Amino acid sequence: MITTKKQLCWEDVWDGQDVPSVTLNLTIQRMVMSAGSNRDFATHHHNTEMGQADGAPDMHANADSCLAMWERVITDWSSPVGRLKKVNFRITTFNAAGDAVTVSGKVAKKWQEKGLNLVELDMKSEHARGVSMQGTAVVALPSTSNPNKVPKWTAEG
Amino acid sequence: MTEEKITSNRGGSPKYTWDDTVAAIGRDFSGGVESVADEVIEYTAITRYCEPWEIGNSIYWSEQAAKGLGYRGAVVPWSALRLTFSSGGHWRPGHETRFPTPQRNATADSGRGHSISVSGEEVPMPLYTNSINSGMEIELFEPACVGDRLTVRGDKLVNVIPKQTRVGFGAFHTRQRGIYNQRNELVALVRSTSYSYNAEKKG
Repeated sequence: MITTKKQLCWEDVWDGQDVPSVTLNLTIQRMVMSAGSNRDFATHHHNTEMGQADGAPDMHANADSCLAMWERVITDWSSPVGRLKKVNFRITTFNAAGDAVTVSGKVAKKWQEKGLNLVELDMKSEHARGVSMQGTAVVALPSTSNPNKVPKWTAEG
Repeated sequence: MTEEKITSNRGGSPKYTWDDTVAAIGRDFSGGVESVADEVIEYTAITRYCEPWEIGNSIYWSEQAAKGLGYRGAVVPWSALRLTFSSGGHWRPGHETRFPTPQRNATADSGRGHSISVSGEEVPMPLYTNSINSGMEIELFEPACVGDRLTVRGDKLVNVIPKQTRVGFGAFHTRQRGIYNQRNELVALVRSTSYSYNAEKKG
């Protein structure tokens, strides 16, 4: 479903606020759909034996798919006007077929810089074997004074 | 027919140790070679990318919604920039078949591997049996939209950390690349970390 909701603005956000979590079930069909659409056909992402050869319980999601799970949660929260500025993450254990991965986030801080209204999120993914991925995401949000103005910046600042 | 021991993304060379990899920190292995995506970004590639994770952001699905907010067209999801819309295809007319054997686990070479750069230059890494992407840092700048064609520049080794983990011994190594559009605008700066290792056990 295309996201249609009230636009989240910087003024709506506070430190410690939860980003609504989403649980994504990693079925084999979903893993194959993901590999087909993201074009990563390395066999450990769609083949049980090859995934297990890495030490994983089964075929495992590639890093881009793991990040796409975060994109689902972050854009559900901040889209369509909010824009990701920076993200970093570390995968601490495999996200494998058969896992139910819950992605959640929390507002770590909010600030204004160079005309941008910024929010840093502490993000994590977890499943039955523990936290599988951790990191942070910096999102630029519009202001309530102009909620349809997309934040812009350049490589120069 | 004898099937090889199953490994995933093997690479490296017996000429090197991880000390050689550490010593190469700071070197750019691209040799100035740019990697231009084989395809111009198309709308259906974006929507199909969104399907498995059910990403419903309207600027990915609707040109009208994207243009209404000032974008040039439907926007590329940021998680798809590093790989999906920056890389080459898997077969082209005139290429040999990628599937010469019916062995169920046969692996067509899906890329350069983690020890060979875009220029074909060898990154000094010891032999390893497995390699997985273990993390990333992405800074975003100009959005990528339908109609853009992306180019990857640079392949700088920025960090190497040898480490024993529960799956084996190897090293985490981080490479930095820039993604540009056809107007030479920086779209994203990507630092991608892989763990290359000799697998010791399953778990």
